[in-house]
Amino acid sequence: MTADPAGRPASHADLFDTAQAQGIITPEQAERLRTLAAESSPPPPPPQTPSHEPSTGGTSTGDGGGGLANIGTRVAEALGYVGAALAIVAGVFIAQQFWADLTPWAQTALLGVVAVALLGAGAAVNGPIGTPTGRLGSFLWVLAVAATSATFGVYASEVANIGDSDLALWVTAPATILAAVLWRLRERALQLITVTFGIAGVSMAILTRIDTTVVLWGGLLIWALGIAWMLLAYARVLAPLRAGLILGALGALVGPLFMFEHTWALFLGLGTAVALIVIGVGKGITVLGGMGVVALFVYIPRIVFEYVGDGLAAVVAMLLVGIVLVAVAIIVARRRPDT
Amino acid sequence: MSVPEPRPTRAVAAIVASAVVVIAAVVVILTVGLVPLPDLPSLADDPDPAIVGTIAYVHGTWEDSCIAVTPASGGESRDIWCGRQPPDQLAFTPDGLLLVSGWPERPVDVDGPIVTVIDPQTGNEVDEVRPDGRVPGTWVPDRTRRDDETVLQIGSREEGVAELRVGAPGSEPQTIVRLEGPRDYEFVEAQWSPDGAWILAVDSRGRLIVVGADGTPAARLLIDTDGDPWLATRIAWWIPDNTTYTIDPADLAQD
Repeated sequence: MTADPAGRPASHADLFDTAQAQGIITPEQAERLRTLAAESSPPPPPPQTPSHEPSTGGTSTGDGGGGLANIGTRVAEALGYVGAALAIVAGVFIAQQFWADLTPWAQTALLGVVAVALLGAGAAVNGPIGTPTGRLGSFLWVLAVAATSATFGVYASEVANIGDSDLALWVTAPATILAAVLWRLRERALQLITVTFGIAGVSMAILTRIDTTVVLWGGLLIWALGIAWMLLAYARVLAPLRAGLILGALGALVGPLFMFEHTWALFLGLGTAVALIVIGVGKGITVLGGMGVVALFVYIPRIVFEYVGDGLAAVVAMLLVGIVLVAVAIIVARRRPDT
Repeated sequence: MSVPEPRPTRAVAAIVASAVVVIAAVVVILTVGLVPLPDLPSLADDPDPAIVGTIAYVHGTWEDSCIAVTPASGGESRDIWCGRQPPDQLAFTPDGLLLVSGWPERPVDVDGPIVTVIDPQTGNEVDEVRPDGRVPGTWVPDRTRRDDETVLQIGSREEGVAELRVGAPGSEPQTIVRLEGPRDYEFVEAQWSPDGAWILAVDSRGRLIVVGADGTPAARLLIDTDGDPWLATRIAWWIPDNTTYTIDPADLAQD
């Protein structure tokens, strides 16, 4: 952490204590942050020599040697993921050579073993948030959920001969339950993403089971789940906060797009985008405001083309809307007191 | 800086609000988005003796299907043969034996399918015939055309509306059945009864429906196969002493 303008070093511990006292973070989160800060902080610099020569080796003396060490760590991590991806792809190709020769039970068992192995590996690699081991552990658990989904999918289709109408539930529901358990164990962004997509998948599978035509209304359910996600994240029921808000906003903005047969859904998406911009600006949550702005670029042209057509009038209408938005932004900015 | 709300209260409020939003969406979907199937009187509950004959149909899955027979008037149906692969076509012989082509575990001959003759009373296989150079699907007669050349037409002109149309020679087809359902609802198969007095249709939910030749009596549900509607298109109707749409196995045998 950099020093304040007065030159006094800011204290991580003081910051975390204040945040905990104000209920911004839980005691558990504060402790984890203190641990992370302690592990990430560079060792104290050696005593200054008259020549002020920078120390050599792995010490961090500002942005010179410490920056190089960070770059090296990130490169190593990136190489690790690339290597893992290559290994996975190669493993899939190898498995394809003998997959057809396996009985359905053997196929199921093989996938189950892979899932369990990934679960164990992810449990063993449990680093703090923001560290390479932390990210690797989260990624391994994402793969474990995917392998679980595949296990149940193969079992349902090849062993139990489950009909198509129920197959989607077998593929999504067990994996989503596992994803939720893993998220409760480690409230990390990747685990939250896995749970989110799992719940979306289960929801769509249930709608499909009710009636295949109801799936066209699934976008409304995705929108509702997105709103719920943002509410729960903001109330700290879902963690991490940022991931929860982003996932929720994504669902709320994308959901209406799936209801392309219902033009009123475009207005739902537009309203959601505007609401996110207002909330983002009002609460200082820049990412929500940014996502809302991007969504405007999607929904406004679609609405204009839907109701005005694709001629010059439509383009002029969009120009006018854009000018109005800029004017509103200037007015709002001028009325807000500087903070 | 103002003191924030105690977290449990905010969390409870968020959970309640989230539940309300999701439940509201589900209610809208189920009330507005879910269009029910047309509710038809059931011949199983109220058989009509005016509808004569026996109907054979297929139900189950593509991996595990069964051929069943049921009185055309309605009533109990009976599985007569179950295998892994569904047949391509069904037809009756003049004396009421069932002809089944492309039956499970039989190799499909390059010159045409093997047609198995089954006794619907016992479910036993009584003969096997190899059609003379015919490709699958063309050895059954056209059951959409009646003896007087009146034709049956299916096909939706509106989304979610299943229609049956009947066209006498020289005249425009007239709609005799119009059923509203979900957006993909339609008839996928229809054929005349051997006596030309009834129409047997299959809807996109795999339900076998019987209706009078001119739309009267109105459509009634014979069987809900509760399966793939394209399996249910394998249907055949036999009336004793009526050889319309029947096939003599001897006519199929190779020279």
